[in-house]
Amino acid sequence: MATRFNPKPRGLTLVEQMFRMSTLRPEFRVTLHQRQRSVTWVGKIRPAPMSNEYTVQVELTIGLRPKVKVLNPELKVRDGATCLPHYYPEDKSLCLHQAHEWNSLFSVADCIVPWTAFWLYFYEVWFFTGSWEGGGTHPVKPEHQAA
Amino acid sequence: MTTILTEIEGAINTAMPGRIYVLNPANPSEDLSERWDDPASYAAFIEGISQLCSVWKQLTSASEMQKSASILEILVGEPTKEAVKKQARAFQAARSAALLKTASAGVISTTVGTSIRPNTFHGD
Repeated sequence: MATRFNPKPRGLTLVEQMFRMSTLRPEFRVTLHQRQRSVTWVGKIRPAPMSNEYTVQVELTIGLRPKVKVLNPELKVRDGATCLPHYYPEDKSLCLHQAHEWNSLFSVADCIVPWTAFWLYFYEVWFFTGSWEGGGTHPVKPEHQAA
Repeated sequence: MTTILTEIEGAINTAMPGRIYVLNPANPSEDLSERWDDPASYAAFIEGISQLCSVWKQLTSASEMQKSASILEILVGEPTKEAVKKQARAFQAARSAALLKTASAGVISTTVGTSIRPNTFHGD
């Protein structure tokens, strides 16, 4: 009896990621780093009509989680807090998701970019009110709630 | 609001050096603004409208939530923070229920586009 062929679904290639991104967010500038097997996009996100406009960099390396950094304006810690919520200070990237919520079958344009817009929106709300309203892990830390 | 304020300013300028009259629509012979016969009262009204127009222009040209909210706080007081939180909670509820979608150009809405997968902000 022949063995049934159940191929493991392969993740999106960098070229497929780039194509999807160019369709949804054509204004993002893309750089392909073939030797590092990675791609970088730089573009602007305004999370809400009354929000600031942020220049963000999204870096995707095959086999790693996408890294998102805010290039401009600089993210600020509000008075009374000791750090930014949901943020990796070591490499200055945003903590957008838990490990199981992302895999290489998903596209950066459909997941990472909207999640970044959400993060920026909740960051602005937090900066103004002192309360992180976007949920997530560690929501009881002082940095996430108003005093 | 911008249109209303612009029209009030225009009416004030047109009526100069006199005052504007606000007549009762049901009884045009009744002047609802008769108190403005007192020059001091009318000057206070003009000053108030001028200040409101100035703050409103700042509000509508502000491109940061921090700035906009601070201006709103001047206008309406402390409830601004609660209103911002309330809006954020409604947004978060829609996000948790996977009701948000992204269309071309990355616009996020609840009506058109591809559904956005729920995510959990992680880490510190």
